[in-house]
Amino acid sequence: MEKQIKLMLVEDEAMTALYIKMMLEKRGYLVSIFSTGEKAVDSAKAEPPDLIIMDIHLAGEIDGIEAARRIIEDAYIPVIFATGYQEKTYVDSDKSIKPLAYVTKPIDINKIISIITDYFKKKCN
Amino acid sequence: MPDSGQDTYKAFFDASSEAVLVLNSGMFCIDLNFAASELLGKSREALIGSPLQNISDFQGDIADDGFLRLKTGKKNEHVLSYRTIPVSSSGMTMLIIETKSDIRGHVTVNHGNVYRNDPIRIVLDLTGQLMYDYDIKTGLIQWTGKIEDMTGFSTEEFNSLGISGWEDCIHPDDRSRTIAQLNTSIEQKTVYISQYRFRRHDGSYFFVDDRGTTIYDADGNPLRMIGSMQDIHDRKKAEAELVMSEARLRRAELIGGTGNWEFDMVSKKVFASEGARRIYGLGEKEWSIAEVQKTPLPEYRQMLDEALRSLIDESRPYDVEFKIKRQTDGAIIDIHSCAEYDPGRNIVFGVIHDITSSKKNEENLKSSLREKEILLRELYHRTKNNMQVIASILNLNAILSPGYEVSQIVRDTVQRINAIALVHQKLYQSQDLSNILLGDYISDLVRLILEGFNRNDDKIRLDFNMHVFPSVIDIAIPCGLIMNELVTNTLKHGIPEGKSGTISIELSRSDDGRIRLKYSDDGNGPPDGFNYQQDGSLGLMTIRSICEHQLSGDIRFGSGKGFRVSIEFNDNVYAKRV
Repeated sequence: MEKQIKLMLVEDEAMTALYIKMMLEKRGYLVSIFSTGEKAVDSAKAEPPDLIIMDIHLAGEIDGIEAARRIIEDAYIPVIFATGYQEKTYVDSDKSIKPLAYVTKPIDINKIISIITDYFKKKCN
Repeated sequence: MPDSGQDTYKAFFDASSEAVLVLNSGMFCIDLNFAASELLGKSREALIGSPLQNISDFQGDIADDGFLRLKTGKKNEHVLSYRTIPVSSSGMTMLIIETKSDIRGHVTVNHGNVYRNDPIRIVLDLTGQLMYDYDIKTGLIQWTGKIEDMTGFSTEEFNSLGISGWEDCIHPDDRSRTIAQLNTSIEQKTVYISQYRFRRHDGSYFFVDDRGTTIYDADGNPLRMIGSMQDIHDRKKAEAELVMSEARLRRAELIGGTGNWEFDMVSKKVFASEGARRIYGLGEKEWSIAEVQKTPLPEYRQMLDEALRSLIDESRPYDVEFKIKRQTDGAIIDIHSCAEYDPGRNIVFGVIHDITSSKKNEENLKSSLREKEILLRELYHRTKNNMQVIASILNLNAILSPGYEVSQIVRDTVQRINAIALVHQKLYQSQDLSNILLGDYISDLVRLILEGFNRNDDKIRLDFNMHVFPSVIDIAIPCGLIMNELVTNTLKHGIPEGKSGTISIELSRSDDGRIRLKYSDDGNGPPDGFNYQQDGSLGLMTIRSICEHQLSGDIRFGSGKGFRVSIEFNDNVYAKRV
């Protein structure tokens, strides 16, 4: 049986998180959602996901960029950032992160699915 | 009465108050009148035949007019003006000595001064002075000098003024003071000095400096006052302009918060204007450069020293900003200072400007700009988030409610959007850009939903028990969405149209920031065996998801009549953004 791909969705807005989670689960991904960067970091350190979809503005003390930086300091995990146009520059200013992709809000779920699918296809090849 | 020309001449000659001597061509006295005899203190007989140089310091040819120094005793010495009149072709000269022009003789007697030269008239002319001899008993004043040039009066007119005329010419505002000064000096035997405005013949006034000395008789009674009146109008005007200019400078420094200073690099002393002293808090004492240099805060010392050095050594512009601790009250003042170096005098001249308030304004402006930038970013973020929430709600509706009518979906969605919009309305109405009163918001939201369902009648009773406390927008919006689902559920299922019932809401916050929201209705309640955890309706999914995921809270559904739910979460899930 093929191993189920684990996705981490870090999004503090419940309705959005619920929608993305449902859509990704329909495609067969295993999705865990977190509303704060701290919780996401703790979970990722304990059980690293295969890919992270990260919002930048989050509840809690740390933002999505800091959460991503802490997560990938141990091992690289691809991160898709959900950003606004200005925030892209903010993410790029941290050279240590190297995001897999950016998606802008309101999120186009098909674009996210396409990025994830392409990434794992390439990885398998 | 004399009846011949000779007699007439003789009578006039003898009665004249002026001293008249008749000199032959050799400058020997061949005749003199009574006034001359009296003036010289010798009998007529003793003087006739005497050479003029025996009775005066006169040497050489006599001029048409001038001054003569006359010795009239062991101590007395008179300097008198004279004029000469040639008498026919006989070579004789009539020497007329103006006895009342005697000024220095009396001064000499009273003050012991000895004048070595006689150019009094020249001095008077050059200095713009009039000299006077005031006969205190008669009130007559005899004036000498360029009377007409100074006063516009002819000599005759002016000499006829007397003391009352003189008083009349004093400016009314100065008159009583001046007269009092004159009388006091006479009474107290002091030198009279007064400055006042004097009226010219044409009615215009000019400033004069008037000084005089009183001569007393042996009994101490005042006889005469000898003095001078000098035109000081230009000086007074210049002084007044200087005073005005200095007053303007002081006022400008006060209004502008400026001051000026000089460092004397030789004496190491500091000149500081009134404005500079005020800004630095310096007293009236003399300050050294080293003392003044202690006023700036220590962290600026090196920079200021270097700026001063490069100004003096390299002619680099001195234009610095720094903070001082004012010496009087210790207040911290922002200073802008510019200076120039004058190598000729070896001084540094500078100006200082108290820029504390403009610095503060600048900081406030920067702070305001920063706040606006943050606000703009936050607005952008919230708008984007709200768009995302709306998009997600619509998407979830599409997934979870395939059998719903479009109109139903639209109405539900509009209600959810209204719940979000009401937060923004409350936010706009509040003084705070980040907080709204949560209970107030929930109360208004419930009524808005009732209106939306056209149920705002007496059949739905509202029982609210809500504490008043502020909440950040990031808490208010999810709470609003939860409330929207709960009230909608009550109106659709618990107390449907046509039924009556009560909606009860309790809201509280504990000291540790735990927010408790209890919602209940006394309607139909869920069907038997209903499982809140497994129900897949969008409404319940929304409530669970927001409470557990977004607010990191706890949710408990109650049992018994109607519908009951209790939600708890911490108010610090989101920090205040703006």
